[in-house]
Amino acid sequence: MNSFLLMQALGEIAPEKVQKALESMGRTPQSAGKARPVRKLARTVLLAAVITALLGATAYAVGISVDRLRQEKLRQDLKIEENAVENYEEYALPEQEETAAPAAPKITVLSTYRDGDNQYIYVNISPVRKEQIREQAYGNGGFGADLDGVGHYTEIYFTREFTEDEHEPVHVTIEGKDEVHMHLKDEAIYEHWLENYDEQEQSLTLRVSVYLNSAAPENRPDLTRPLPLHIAYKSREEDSDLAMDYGTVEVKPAEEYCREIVFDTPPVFPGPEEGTAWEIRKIKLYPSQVLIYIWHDGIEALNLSAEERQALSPEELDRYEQARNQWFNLYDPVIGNSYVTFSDGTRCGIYGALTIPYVDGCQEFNTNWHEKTVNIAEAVSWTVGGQTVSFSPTAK
Amino acid sequence: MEDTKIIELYWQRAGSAIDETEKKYGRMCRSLAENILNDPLDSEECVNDTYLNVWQSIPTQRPAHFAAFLAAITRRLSIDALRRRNAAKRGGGAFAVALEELAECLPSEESVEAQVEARELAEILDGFLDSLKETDRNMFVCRYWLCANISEIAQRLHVTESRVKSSLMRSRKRLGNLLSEVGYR
Repeated sequence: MNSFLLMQALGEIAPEKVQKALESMGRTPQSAGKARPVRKLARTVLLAAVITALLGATAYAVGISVDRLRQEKLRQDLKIEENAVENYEEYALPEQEETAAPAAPKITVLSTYRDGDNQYIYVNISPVRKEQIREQAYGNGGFGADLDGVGHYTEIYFTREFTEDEHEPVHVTIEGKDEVHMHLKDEAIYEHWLENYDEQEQSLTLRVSVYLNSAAPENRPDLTRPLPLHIAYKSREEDSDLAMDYGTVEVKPAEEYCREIVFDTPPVFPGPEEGTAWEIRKIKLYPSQVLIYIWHDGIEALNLSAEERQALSPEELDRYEQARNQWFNLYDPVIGNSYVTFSDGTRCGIYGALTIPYVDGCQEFNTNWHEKTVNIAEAVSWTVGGQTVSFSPTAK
Repeated sequence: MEDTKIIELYWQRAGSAIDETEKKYGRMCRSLAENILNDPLDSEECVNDTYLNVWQSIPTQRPAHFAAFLAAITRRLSIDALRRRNAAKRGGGAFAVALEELAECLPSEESVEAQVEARELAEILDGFLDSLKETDRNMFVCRYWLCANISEIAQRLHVTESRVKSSLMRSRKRLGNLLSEVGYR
């Protein structure tokens, strides 16, 4: 024990004692002096808060563009400037003057950016009744999105749940809530939806995720032209015929912004059996996503095509799945505890795998940062399983 | 503005919550951070971080002692910042001196059989502080929690500096004895 620990422990004493001491020292309100200007960090908090406050009915009253405020708030939330996200694009907003909340349902596309295999598109839809949010959360109805040319209508997902061979081309998630898994209780899901819902204004901001590398080629969106995005709502409970068309907006593909780092000396980790090992060959950093490429001997045999799997007997299929799981279970504990260090000494961890498809002879470990976005240009090293690999500053 | 109203502003996610906190408690937080860090820029950063922490904590919390709540966050962030600066013992201003004084009542490294968690130690400290007279307790907390200067304590509590010093010395001695009794020597 040292005096530092004692000083730290003092920090845990009952607050009443501290309050008394503060009062005896005259440091409570009555003696507070002239306030100094709030600096950058607090200003950021303030700005976000002010925007949130303005997004109520007052914005219409003072003639501020509500959609412009929504764009501003989103940019703040995603830390676009702070993390120098280069491929974030805001869409031009309708020019007509807004003097009141819209009476008819409408969607407004706010912004977009592309990370890896996904293009994220933020849309605001309004007016949305609270009951509709509830239905969405409790699975009795909900919002759906489709892309023209894809011909696929999909329910809004709470997670990006991909199966190995069949990727849905469009997913609509609530911004930043990908971690809300289906196993959560409905009440918890409902709460998460409400976080992105302004009841007074009856507006909801969603993130539409377009999966660009759909395994099914016929579902792959044509990126050479703007994509009309259509959002609708349908109720299953109140009235089976109740459907609401929120309309169609056009979205355009964004450029990819990525740093790809190939390791000259790949980090190596023990495999499931003695004498086996797996290695990480490269990493791709995106502002909101990380892709890690894993390789080991015999990896091809663990990634059979659908046809090859169908040809297996039930026992063989069982052994195949067990062998895959043996390897896959090794990745999360190592990679899920890793972190990237930035030039200013700060760190950001990454989550476990969202998906692990087989890409270019490697398992592609898809995951997200602990933060919504990071400044990938400032990443200098990655510490994984106790090994640190440095990035070349020019790798981009 | 009353604390309850400021807290309500945080619950409403109103930007003015931070403004009101700064107006009412900015000086207190800044003074505490400066006592620990001895650096105006670092202190300012800690105060800003404090507001951000409070913004993130309320809701869901509704602190009964808002000033103490704020001060605890500032203190914790300042100590963390000091740790990062790796200048704990020397050249760190009032906090470093306070640390050295506290070291008097600690048993030697060799006789310590086990490290204790800060929270367990805090319980002992709470009991110890309860056993002190109110004036002595305030002096101890002012010195070692708020890291206030002895002259400032004397001035604020309307006593002489030697009175503060002797009270602190007695308290440290009693704390040292107590820590020994509960097995830290």
